[in-house]
Amino acid sequence: MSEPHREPAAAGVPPESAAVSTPPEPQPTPTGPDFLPTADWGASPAPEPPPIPSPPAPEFAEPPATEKLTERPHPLTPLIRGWIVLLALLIGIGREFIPNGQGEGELPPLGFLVGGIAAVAVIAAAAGFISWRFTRFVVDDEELRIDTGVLVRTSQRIAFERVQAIDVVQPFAARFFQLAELRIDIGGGESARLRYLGLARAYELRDYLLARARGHRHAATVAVDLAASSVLTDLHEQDEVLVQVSPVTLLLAAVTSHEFFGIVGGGIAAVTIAVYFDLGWASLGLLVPLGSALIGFIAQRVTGQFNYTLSRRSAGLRISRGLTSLTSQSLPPRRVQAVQISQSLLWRRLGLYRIDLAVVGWGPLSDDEDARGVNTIMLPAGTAAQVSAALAALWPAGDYREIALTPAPRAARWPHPLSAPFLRWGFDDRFFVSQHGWLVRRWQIVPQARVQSVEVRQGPISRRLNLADVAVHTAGLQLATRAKGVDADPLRAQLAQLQEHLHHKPEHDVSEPPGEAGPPQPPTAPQPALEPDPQGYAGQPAARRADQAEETISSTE
Amino acid sequence: MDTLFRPPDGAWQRLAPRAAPARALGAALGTLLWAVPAFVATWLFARTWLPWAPWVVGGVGLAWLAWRTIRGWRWARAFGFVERESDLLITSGLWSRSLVAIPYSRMQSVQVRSGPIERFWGLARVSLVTASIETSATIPGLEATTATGLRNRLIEAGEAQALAL
Repeated sequence: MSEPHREPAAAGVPPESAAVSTPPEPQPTPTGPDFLPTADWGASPAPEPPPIPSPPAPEFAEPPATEKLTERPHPLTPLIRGWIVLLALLIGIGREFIPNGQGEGELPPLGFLVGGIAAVAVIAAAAGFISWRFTRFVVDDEELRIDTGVLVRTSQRIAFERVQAIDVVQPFAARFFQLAELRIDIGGGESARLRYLGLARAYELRDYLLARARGHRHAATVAVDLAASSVLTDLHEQDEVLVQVSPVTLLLAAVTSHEFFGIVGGGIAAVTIAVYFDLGWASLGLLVPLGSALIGFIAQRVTGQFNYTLSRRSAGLRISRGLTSLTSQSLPPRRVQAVQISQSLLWRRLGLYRIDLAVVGWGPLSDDEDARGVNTIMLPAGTAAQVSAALAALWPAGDYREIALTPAPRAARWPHPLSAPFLRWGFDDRFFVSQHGWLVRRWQIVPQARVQSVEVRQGPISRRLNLADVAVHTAGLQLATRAKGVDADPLRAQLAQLQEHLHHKPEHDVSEPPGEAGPPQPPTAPQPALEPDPQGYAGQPAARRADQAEETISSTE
Repeated sequence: MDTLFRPPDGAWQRLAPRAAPARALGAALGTLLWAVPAFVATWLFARTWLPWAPWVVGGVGLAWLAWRTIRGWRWARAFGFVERESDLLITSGLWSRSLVAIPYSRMQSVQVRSGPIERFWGLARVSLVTASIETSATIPGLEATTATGLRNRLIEAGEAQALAL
């Protein structure tokens, strides 16, 4: 559906890209705008039919070699952007008139209000139209380039190898029209955005770019069959579903989480104080914000993670989730620096766990996706089996549960009176594991290959108790991974061993089993136990895994 | 010395002899930076109705100055590092002790810096940079020539052990 456009290389293109865009062999004649280069760019005349019919393009009959095929985002883009602005405006204004116990909120004249809102929406749509008109992008064998801007023209060219991860995001309005936004994470800072594309085109581009990022120069694209995919999950036939979390589980997890009880407890305290001081109606007024906070919390937990699915396909691991805004986030295992599994008090009874990820460039751990659409939750709530399935997908070559953990000595009860019985730590040649916490128990797991340095600390009190803390530093600054209350006597020998393991040997990198190319592994159930020696993996046929997608990428870490 | 924080492998190196007075001076200046304004402020504003206040502030400031100076001196004397085969160990701290191990393969760059006080004493500091900002691996107070020598050795070791990621 994207509008084809032929652009002379000299206009708005940096000279070096013009030079690149002059290959010796004549360029093939593409049949439509939605064309992607296939394995042999020079030879195959027509790659694949576009998924969405488009007007014939007779002017492509004899393309001069200096011109490139550029695409525009979907023509409905301005409409959707206008709609999103309108929606935000309506919600913002509507919020003013929800009774909040203070009884103010005077309505301006209705006509004025409607007119103002309409004007803003029209302006937003017009701005969207202009920016759409001036946005073009090129994805072909040679380059990925996005040209934007009306007054200030920007031409962003992204090296394929720098593509770290790609998210397909579908806001509610875009889903009506089967459109999606493509967010290209190029490591650190802003990610490049393409909005909005046809859904099929977005998935196709994602798969192509991820394949290119892996270093497959001649990546064949797989046409995405939209009919086979569900509106709610972004799943396709080739996808292998690893973990799915039902909305019921999410709801249960939300109302039993410690944050929920935190809100309830805060509300009860506030009401108690109000009743004690005999504030009368004010105490009732407190219930309204408390109720809305609880509803908001549950809604965020349930809708944000709605239909959570962790799946694997040739392009790598992927998490899709969301009710109102469906996000499909690619998960690069090599960039995961550390993992934290946590379990609050009631979740212990229910056998639920949550997994958070510390990934370079993803920002701090959070409960919801941030402005860049990045969500650090790997698993919102799942059983032990789901946890091991998720971690087995992330780190196929190692199981952290094999590690014999050392409990903290009795003396650790002094500095850590409540969590001491739970404190443990351990490591082997693949992982460093630490568990701590009291109300919320936490397991922190760091692959040895991601550890940048190790630090032992001992304060004056710890020295009297013969204890020490061990911290491992990673590039994921979101998680301070450390073992607390470690017995200092055996630590001396353990430390020498740990430092020995740090000398990263490639076969010990847990996110890539050693071995050469082979067929992708059959669906992995949570593996109860793995061979203790990493070499055991070399014999397995499953050596080369799809989720190695990010191998070449991570050199940019 | 505690073997946990000073494992007996390799030759532990200390900071330059001049690093101790430099560190002490730095600590003293850091104390004066707040002690003098505090004394002046109490002298100007609180003297009339609290005649003893400036002397209390001054006394505390002086005691703190002496304490910081001694601690700075001892801190620099307690600092140690050892270049091992595949990593660098740094031990530091008096009350809160720490031992940091940085494998050469994780080093991203090595910095040599020299501030005004350090330059006056002919000293320089060497910092190792890894991908983690938590890594605090700075060796303060080396002779300038020792510092550049150490930097070059570290870079060489890092290049030799860098793993093709």
